[in-house]
Amino acid sequence: MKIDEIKELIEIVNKTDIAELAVESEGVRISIKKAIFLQAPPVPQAAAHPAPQPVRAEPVEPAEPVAAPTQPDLDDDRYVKVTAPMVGTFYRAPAPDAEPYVSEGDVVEVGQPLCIIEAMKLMNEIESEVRGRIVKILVENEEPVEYGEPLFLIEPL
Amino acid sequence: MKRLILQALSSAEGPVSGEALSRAVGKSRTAIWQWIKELREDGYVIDAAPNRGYRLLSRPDRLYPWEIQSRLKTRVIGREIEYRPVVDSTNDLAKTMAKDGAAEGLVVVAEEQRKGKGRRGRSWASPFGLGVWVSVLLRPAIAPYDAPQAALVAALAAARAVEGEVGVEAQIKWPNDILVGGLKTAGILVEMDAELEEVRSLVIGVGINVNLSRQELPEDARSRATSLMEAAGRKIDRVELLAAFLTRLEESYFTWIEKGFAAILPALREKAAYLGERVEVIEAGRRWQGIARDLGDDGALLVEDDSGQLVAVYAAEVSLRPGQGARSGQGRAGA
Repeated sequence: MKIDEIKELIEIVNKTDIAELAVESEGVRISIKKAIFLQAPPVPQAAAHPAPQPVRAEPVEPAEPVAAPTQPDLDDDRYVKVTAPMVGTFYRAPAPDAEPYVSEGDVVEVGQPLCIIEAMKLMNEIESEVRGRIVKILVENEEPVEYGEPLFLIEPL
Repeated sequence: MKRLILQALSSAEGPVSGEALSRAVGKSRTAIWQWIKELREDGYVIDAAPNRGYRLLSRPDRLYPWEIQSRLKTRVIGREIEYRPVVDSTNDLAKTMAKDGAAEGLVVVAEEQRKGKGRRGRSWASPFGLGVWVSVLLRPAIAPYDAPQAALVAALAAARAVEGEVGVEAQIKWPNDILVGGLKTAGILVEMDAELEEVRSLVIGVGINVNLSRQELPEDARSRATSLMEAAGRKIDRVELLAAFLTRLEESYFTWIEKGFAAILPALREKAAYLGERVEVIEAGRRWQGIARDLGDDGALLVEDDSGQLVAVYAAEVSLRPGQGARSGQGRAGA
């Protein structure tokens, strides 16, 4: 199955009310599931901001993100948004085999490292400018990030 | 003071009397005697003949600040030099000093690093007295998104210093390694402390394999790495090399800051390795191949993928495609 055909399938799922579609062709099984975006309940709970997941074709090589993930509600002004100061690769840990700097739910202090962004062998350790709880980590480890892209939501304490 | 005494000793033809030294540096003869004692402890061989005076016979192979500063032609870089015989990591010490308010131009240098840092938690072997393990603190008034160009700015300075002091051709493997004869002799690791709009500090860490013998290189790196001594076939003066690097760094740094990255781009292109060759790009867990074509106006490596599209690469490992490795590099540089 060609990538274009998969894209076509995704579009079909996207444009219709179909929530799930499985196709088998030439021994390759493609399953496309649509995560239904749930309206965030009006409870001021941080965890209740589910990211609207893009439609994903599961067995596809992770070469190209098929659809850019839309961000969760970033405009909530209760949260401090930590953004990328430059284009680069996002790392959650100082080394591949090391523990992540922070995880969701952690309480961080001012000046505590949150992640590293690397571009052209420049390592930019991003530190928290507030004391607070990590509500959401918006980027996967080793993902490329754009300038100004939100990385973390922190609830100040 | 040590610098003044050494200057007086080395500029003289023969022995210098304690009295003449005391006049030259404006200190008492007793003070001079104390300083001579300290210099001897530092490893200087100073002959003292009764009634004739002091004579400098040899200097130790050490990266002492006063030795570096007496050779520097800089306004900013190296005004302050923090010297440690042994340190965990010059970058870490420079970062700490930066947080404590150290001024732009601070140089941290060590004879040995116990935890020399490479990219992503890798180590950088930094044995005692055999390399140049140095970090430079810069505080450029630039936007953080332009800061990654600093690695290339430093790489250009390192390549020029190596060519000037060692007399071998040096190439820059994008974005931060220096190759001699196709083999890695130096690496650069830049660490930034920034806010969204402002760079608080850049620490430029450079490790140059200078006088390591083949056996002293890490075993797993021997097929890809070398030292300047191995490449040149002679021992290299580390003090001269470091002073040349810092002088070159100040040149390329201020050209970059004052005239923009475009002003150093032609020189970088001239020294860039792999241009026109097939390379493998490993970025964010993804591998692909293409032909390295050029450096972009912002310092990105422009690689033409197999569909003919030019892709700007910012954060990646780039290597020659397996099978075309060090051999072709050596052949090219040997010619």
